[in-house]
Amino acid sequence: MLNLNHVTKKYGTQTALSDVSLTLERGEIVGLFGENGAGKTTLMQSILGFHRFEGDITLDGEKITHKNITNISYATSAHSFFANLSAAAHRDFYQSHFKTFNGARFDALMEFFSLTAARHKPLFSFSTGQKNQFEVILALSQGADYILMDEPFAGNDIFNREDFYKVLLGILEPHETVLLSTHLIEEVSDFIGRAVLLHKGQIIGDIRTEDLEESGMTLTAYIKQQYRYQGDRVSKALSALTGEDL
Amino acid sequence: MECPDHHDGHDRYDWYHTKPTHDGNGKQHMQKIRALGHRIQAAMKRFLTHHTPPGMNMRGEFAFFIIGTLLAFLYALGYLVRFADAKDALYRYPYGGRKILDPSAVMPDFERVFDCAWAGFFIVALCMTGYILYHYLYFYQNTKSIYLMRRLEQRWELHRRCLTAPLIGIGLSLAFAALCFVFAYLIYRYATPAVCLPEHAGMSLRGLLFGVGGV
Repeated sequence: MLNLNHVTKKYGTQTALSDVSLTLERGEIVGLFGENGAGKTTLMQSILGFHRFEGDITLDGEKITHKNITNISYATSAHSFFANLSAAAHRDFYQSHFKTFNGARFDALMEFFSLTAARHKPLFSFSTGQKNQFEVILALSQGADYILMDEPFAGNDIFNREDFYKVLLGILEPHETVLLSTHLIEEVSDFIGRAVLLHKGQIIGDIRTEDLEESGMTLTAYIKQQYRYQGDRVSKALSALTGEDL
Repeated sequence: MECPDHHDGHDRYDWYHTKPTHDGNGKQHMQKIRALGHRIQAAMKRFLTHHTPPGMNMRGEFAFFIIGTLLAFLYALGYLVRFADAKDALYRYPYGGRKILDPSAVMPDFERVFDCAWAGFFIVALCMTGYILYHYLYFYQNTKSIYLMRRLEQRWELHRRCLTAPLIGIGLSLAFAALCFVFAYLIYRYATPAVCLPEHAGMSLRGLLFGVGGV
């Protein structure tokens, strides 16, 4: 269980996370939504210990240190691999540094994304889409029980993404937990089991998708409701700009 | 004493002579040296793979170190010229070209003759400290591989990979500087006529590090 308890993170005078408390159970697939600057990346990086923060974060009851950090993997749109190394060299690197590295899953995902033929090429020669795919492959193959993904598919085409969600659902073990930050709400709505909404560093919504289904509400509608989205703001803005009553 | 393998027709080393008994042994010897070379090369490669930032091309750094060290050696050789000039000044050349030691002449202080001959090695060492910063910055270039390094169980992995090669370079440079100093002092101490040595060694750290203006 990954537990965040009253986590607050400030950058100077700006509050990035404000008293965030969140619990992720094993086996959950959680979508993390929020506008740009809502604190999604800060939240994930605080879990990984990249930032100092107030409050505490525990993994299976223990503080996150170098001893248990390998039980969390991280895929980011900024990419965390070595651009000059090949995919094959990364496989060796992960194999030697992560005891639980899943080589079979790595090979299978490389094959699925049609990257096997390019496994000896340095990653800087990959397209943005391929880099994203490889970043996700590494996160899923590390052998961690908690997988954090921060907008991993920015730049990938929709067919690629949809296929990936299907594969991901197929390969995840029951004990593996995924926290996925994305703006692609509709795409992941069938894939996640729970949605957490961040707004200006605070959690403003946390709901299971089955509860949403029972209430007959879509995920997009729920998010708009929580954000108090003003549906008429576009027409208001256009009226103000054009002087016409729309 | 008869060597048991001497006449068996095989290319082997004579067991009590050090030279090969057949021409083929020369080739075998070369092969052994080549194999040893390959093993050393492989061991170095393995060492560098685990002690440098992953994927970083170290050839530039290696070349810089080699060239820098060679230049530092060349600069250090200037000491020999200064020493020879200073020693030459201890002599008089009255008539006929035969030099005579002037017993009242005094050799300039060591630090004056030395005149920062080891400076090149310190400059190389200083540049190697710059590589430490460069190695750390490497993990922020193109991608954020720092995120991966900070997620490793081996908490010193990042520092090991950033520090090892530059520290070896710094260590070697300082060792060369020390050797340069020792050799220079030994030459000064034992190649200068004893009567011409100054009473005091003339060695202040400041003078040795920053020079005192030469002879």
